Amino acid sequence: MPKLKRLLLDVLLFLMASPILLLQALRRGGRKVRFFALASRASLFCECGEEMSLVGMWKCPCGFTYRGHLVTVCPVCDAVPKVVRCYGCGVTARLADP
Amino acid sequence: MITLWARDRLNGKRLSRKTHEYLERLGQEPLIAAQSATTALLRKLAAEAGPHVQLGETPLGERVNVPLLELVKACGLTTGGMGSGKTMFAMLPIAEIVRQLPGLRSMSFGVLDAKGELFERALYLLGERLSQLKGREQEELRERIVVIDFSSREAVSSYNILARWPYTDPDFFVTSRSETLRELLPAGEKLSLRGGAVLKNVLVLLAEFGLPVTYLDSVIGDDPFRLRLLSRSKNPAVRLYFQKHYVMEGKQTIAALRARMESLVGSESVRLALSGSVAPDFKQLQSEGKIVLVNCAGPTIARGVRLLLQGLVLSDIRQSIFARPNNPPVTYLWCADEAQNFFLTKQQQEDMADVLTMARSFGSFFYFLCQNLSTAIPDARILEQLHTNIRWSLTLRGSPRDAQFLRSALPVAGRLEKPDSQPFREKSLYSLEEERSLLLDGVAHLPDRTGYLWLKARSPQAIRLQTAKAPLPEGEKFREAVESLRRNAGIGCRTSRADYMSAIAARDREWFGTAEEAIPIERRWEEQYRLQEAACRS
Repeated sequence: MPKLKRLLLDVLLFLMASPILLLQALRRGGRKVRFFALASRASLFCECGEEMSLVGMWKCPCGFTYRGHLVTVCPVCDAVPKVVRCYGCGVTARLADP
Repeated sequence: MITLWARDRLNGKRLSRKTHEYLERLGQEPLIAAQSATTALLRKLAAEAGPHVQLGETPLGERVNVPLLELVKACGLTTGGMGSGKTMFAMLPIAEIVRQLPGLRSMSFGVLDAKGELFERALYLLGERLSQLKGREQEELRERIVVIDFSSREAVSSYNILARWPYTDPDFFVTSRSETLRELLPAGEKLSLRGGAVLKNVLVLLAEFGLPVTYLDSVIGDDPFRLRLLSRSKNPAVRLYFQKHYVMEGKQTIAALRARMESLVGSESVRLALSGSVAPDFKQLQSEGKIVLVNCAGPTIARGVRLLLQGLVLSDIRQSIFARPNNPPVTYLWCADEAQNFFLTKQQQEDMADVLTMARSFGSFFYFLCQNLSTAIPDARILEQLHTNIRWSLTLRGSPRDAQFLRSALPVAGRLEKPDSQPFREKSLYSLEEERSLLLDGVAHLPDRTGYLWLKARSPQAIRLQTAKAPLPEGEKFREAVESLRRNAGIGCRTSRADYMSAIAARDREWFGTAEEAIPIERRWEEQYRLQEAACRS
């Protein structure tokens, strides 16, 4: 009996929290979609109008150098790039979080 | 990272392809940028109005068609070693001008050649063009051609170096002439000051009567002739010199002067040309758009004489250019082969500096062809002036030092890999400066007819090209055609040897009296002495 009560309480709590959880899930999903979109793009545009390529050859701060998309998990240090630099004006742009 | 896993599954191939394309483009971009600038320039040049000259092809097979005016209305320079294709390239704009004749009246050209090659080729092209034309057009072109060939004995052009330019005063003319002769007279060292004074006064006396330099020997050695000239002279200074100072001159001075003048007229063809009564008026020839071909070379003309003749003609051309009106209707291009000879003396260097800096206003331009300019012009100031005022240049195989001026214009892309003996080391590229240095060194071993064309006013970058071939035959056919043109007195406003000799004889009679009197008095005395000596012995 106490087990059933606990289950009902959990369901009740879940139902009460579900709008918030839904909002959280939506937010997380949106972030994932944004990140997916960014990770699938070949380039971005800087505020100065210059095209910033997201594909090419990259070097992680740990020294690992790879060819491909910038947004890739480093197999050595597990880091994911957070910024990309515009070679037109030198400004860096923040990338979407994973 | 499920998102990245999904990305790799869904878009991995596309991104991989994009990466490859991007890196490829990144590698080629500087090359493409450099090439596209050249392509755009070539398209722009080809689209411009007016006649064009096809100068050659780029390594990618693009044709280099340059407007004729771009080459004619500018000072140009072609450098390159023996057999690199300088003269052949110089024929390209000349061939185009000749092709447009006689219709083309706004521009014309002259050739000043110390080797004979450019002269012969230009003469051949003109002969060919004459044979293509008929009637009035042929006659018109024939009248436009003026040939001054110091090596020809059959068809002679009078070139009296003491016939004063109509646009200068007598003192300046004689000073200029005596300076040129003193500096460039063949046979070793320069004349002494005393010899120079004798030469100058003799030239003043001869120039006053328009007599040729071949009379110099008579003025020195024939007292009655000299007295006859002095009695008619209106120049008190020269009369005073010959009455007071000349008699005090040493025999050695006179002998030295004589020896030098003899070496000048050692060649019969040169003596014939210099014996004439008139000289070409280059100012008029340029204004009338005549095609002037001057040849100072020949098998019987010594190097020293050739240099002197070139110097004299150049001096005349320089004076004539500055006597032309500002912005004349005819743009004139002087093609000067072996141009290193134009910078031999200080005076010549300064004359050329004047021409380079100011001749543009007078509608005359120079196109220099030479093997090595930096060694020919030791004065860095003049060399700098030359490079500053040159509007276009073609650098063929030669010394990298001579092509130094081209360094900043050499087409580099910054993608040249450095050779590395370590296979595991990351490959590195030469810097732009290093690549330029390598290209500059490469000038030393360029193939024949390959070089860098730099149209300075059009592009900061030179174009590598293989030059086109001028429409000229080779071998015996060419030689025969040229020889027949050279002998033909009907081409180039020349006189046949017989007519020329009779005109000289008539003038000699006027000044020396009968044939017997024409012989210098010393020789007559010597002959009399020999006769009497022979009589005594017998």
